[in-house]
Amino acid sequence: MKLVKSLALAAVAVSLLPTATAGAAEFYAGKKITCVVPYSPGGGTDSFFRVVVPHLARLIPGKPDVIINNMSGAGGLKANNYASNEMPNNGSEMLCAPWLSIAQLTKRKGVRFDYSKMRVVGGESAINTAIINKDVLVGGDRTTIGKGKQPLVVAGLSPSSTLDLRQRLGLDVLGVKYKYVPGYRGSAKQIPAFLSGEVSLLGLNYGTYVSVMKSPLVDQGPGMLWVDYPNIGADGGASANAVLKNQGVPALDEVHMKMHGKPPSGQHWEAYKVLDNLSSMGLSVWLPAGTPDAAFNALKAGWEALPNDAAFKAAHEKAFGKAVNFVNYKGALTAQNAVATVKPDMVKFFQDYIAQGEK
Amino acid sequence: MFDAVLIGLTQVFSWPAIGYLGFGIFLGVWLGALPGIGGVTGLILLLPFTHTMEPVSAFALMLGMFAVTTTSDTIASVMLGIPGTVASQATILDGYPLAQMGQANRALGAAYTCSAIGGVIGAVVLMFSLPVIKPILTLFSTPEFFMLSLLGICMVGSLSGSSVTKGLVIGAVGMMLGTIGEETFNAEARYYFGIEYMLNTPPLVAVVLGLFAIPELLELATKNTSISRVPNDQSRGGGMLQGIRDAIANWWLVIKGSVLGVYIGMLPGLGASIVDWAAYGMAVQTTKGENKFGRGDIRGVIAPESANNAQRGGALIPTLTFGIPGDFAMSILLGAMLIQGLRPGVEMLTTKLDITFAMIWTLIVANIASAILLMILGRQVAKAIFVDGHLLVPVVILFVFMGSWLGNQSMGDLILMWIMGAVGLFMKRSGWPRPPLIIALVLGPNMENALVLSNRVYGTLGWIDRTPSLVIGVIIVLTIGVTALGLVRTRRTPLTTNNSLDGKLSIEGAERNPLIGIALALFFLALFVTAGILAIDFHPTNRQYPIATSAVGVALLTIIIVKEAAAARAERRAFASYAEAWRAALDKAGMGLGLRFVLWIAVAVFGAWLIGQKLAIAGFILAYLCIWGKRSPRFALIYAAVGYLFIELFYDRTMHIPFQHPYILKLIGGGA
Repeated sequence: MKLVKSLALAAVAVSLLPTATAGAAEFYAGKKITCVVPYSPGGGTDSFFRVVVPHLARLIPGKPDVIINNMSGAGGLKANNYASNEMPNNGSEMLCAPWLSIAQLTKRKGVRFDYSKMRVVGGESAINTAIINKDVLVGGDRTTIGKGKQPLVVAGLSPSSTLDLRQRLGLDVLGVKYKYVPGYRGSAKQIPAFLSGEVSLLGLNYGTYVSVMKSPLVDQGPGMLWVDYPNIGADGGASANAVLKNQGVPALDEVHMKMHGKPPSGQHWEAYKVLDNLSSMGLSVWLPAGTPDAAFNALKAGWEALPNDAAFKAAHEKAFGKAVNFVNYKGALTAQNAVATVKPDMVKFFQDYIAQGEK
Repeated sequence: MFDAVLIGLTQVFSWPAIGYLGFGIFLGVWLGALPGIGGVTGLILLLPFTHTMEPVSAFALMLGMFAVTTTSDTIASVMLGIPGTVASQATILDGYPLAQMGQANRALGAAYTCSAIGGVIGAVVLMFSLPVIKPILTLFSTPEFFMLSLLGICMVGSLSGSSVTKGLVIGAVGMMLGTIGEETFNAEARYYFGIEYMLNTPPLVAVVLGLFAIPELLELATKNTSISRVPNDQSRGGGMLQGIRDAIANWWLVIKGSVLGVYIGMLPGLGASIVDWAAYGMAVQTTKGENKFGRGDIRGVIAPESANNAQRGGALIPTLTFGIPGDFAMSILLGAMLIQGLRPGVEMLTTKLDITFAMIWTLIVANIASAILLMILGRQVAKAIFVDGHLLVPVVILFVFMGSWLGNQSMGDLILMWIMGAVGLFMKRSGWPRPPLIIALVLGPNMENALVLSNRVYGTLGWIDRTPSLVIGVIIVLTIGVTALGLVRTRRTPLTTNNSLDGKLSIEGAERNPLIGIALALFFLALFVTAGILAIDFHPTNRQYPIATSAVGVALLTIIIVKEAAAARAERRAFASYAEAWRAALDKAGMGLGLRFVLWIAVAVFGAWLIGQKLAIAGFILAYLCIWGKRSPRFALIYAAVGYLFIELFYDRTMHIPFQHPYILKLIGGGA
């Protein structure tokens, strides 16, 4: 009887599967999707999605036209607000953006979006690192940070940015003294400041490092890769990124171990772990609430096919010098749900920590 | 290296690169000529098409287009008095009066010649700078960027016409506008008022188009004349060849302008928006002989037009060698490089040196070809100055509306354009110079950011003794000295020349109307006081700059109000009462029709919100031609339909610009 039931269920599932795919394929056939990018053309986010879009268009069932609309403004809030409140929910538009979970969590001024009410399709996981001026160290030894002839000055974007929070938490975990200077927005400000020795630590993701910063700051300048900001697993343990490990760049917890002889712990480390959870997707794709399942399924199918597509992998590698590191729907959904699990005292910690960075 | 130079040249002249270059030049000429579009929009438009191209073809297309927009943008600046792109703002100061004198061809001939020479100089400097650029770039750090912005702000004096005090106040207004939004060190939103649009610094294009285009369109609409104040058969000495001769005769100014353009292009944060003003200021300060700047001096066209094309080559230097994008356009090119798998830096100077030289050759070829092309077309283009103004207003309004919308694609852009249009009208009619507002709006945010960062890194003014900062400080002192000398010289020279057209020309800051001037001064005073009070609640770091700006503005306005009040009292004596004097002042400035025109623009903005831009602009064209232009409904309908189709095909179908969702659809339940 059980076997019959199972076979019957399997038959139903199999019969539904082509229907769902067919529905998804029919949905976008001959249609256009607008990918709303919250920043100006030419930046990291825009470049990433410009590499993605032609291939995504090919891989979404129905092969729709996918175009990019740069809706810049308010540090990305404008497009997120638009997606959460005004974007048509008929599958004609999607938000292609960095995941601003911290902005929502800490109730940043101007936030009108709520990720919990949107439908996440998938994301991309960034490898986070930093470039340091060798003169901040002694003899290139990363455990001597802050003891070299150059003072440790961290160039930040703004105290509430995830990138800055990660840098500061990392240094606080290590117990290193540093000066944090936010306001260095964009490579046009960061590169001259680093080359002239005005600042000595610059947080960034590995894609930006390879494509923009490596040549001027490391090959021609005084910099070197400082540390790998490790990902935190479900068990709370840190895991190093293979790309950086292969280049001899240690993970933050390893540096801590060498400096203090024990694994990291304490409030800053706990906050780091929460932050890592809240930034496990660097870039992400969202649809407004109420988007039809057929549209959602088609986009999900396209997104999940990307990492295995040879042409896309080649284009990604060419542009960003690294392999694709995508987050599928399941992973993205876990990330989306993680926001609701952050405890109020941790939210308060982040709010205070951001305020501290403004002093 | 010589091999790479030749290989780069061969690559550019190989098929399909040469075809893409030709198409890029054609597109650039067209995009530059339309007010409010320009090179950045062109780059955004082309970027998606370059993904599958080879690098040389991709950059032949993009750079070919981008290089020439600063050549063709002169057309709108000279013919309409409206900057074609942000790089040709200063050209209007003398180019438009030349067109009004029937000498548009002369201005265009000089501009195209200088653009070609400037563009080539920019490319050549780029070629020779590549190996030696690092020491120069590493010399400049944040304090030096502050000092350079301060140097730029000092140009305000030479762009203020006959009233430096008013110029400084307008500069302070521009600086204050630049404090709106969250471009602060800690992303604190200043002057936000809960309005999402106010999280951003006001976009430059909407401000420029409002401030300059609306008042000039009003002139055309209300005076019911062509741009030229002299008939076609009476225009003398305005040929294209005369313009070329002018450029050659002023060769030293061309070179000075070009070199300045290259260096401004090289320095991040200054860029295209400032280069023409700086070159114009330099020309005013350093040119000897009879001073006719602002009243149709060909040198006022030559300097900015040499500089803005040279700036393109200069901006590529840090972009290619260090990945430092000098401005927004360079960010897009940098993005295009990444997608092509090109890494700025060592690679572009070694293994990919041939591609770097191909880019340089692209700049050279594009600049020369576009100048020749525009000279061939020039005679036909220049005929537009003799066209009835009522036929020009609708098409220009279309570009002003759509150009402003490109800023943030928000209703806020259109409202901002409208507000700046109304303010610009009052400023123009009461002799307040408009250029300082633009220069301060561009440089103000950079200057504040650099000052805050410098003080936080080095301690308050702890950076002042850095040698490069001191050197720029000396240049600032010299600039102020030269400006002061120039002012003394100008005061000794009568403002008007023997030219019988002086009263009919658009001369920046020349109109006098004390009663309107005092009203505007009181408006600015209220603005400064309110802004200063609101700033008290900001973060201590974020309130210093707006409060200081506000204090300077209030102090200068006090001087102006005292002076204008005396002039207003003198004016009042000719009338029975202030009410009568006020009415006479409004009549003198033509404010009745002016305000009516501004109201029409307001209705069009409201229409854009209610029924979307396409219908609102088409509706404006139809109504304007019927009511203001007194054309037949059939003609107006055809004109409006062509306008609608252009928006549909170019802005919607080609550029994929998102339009305002008509509010009326929400009202009738038609969705977002």
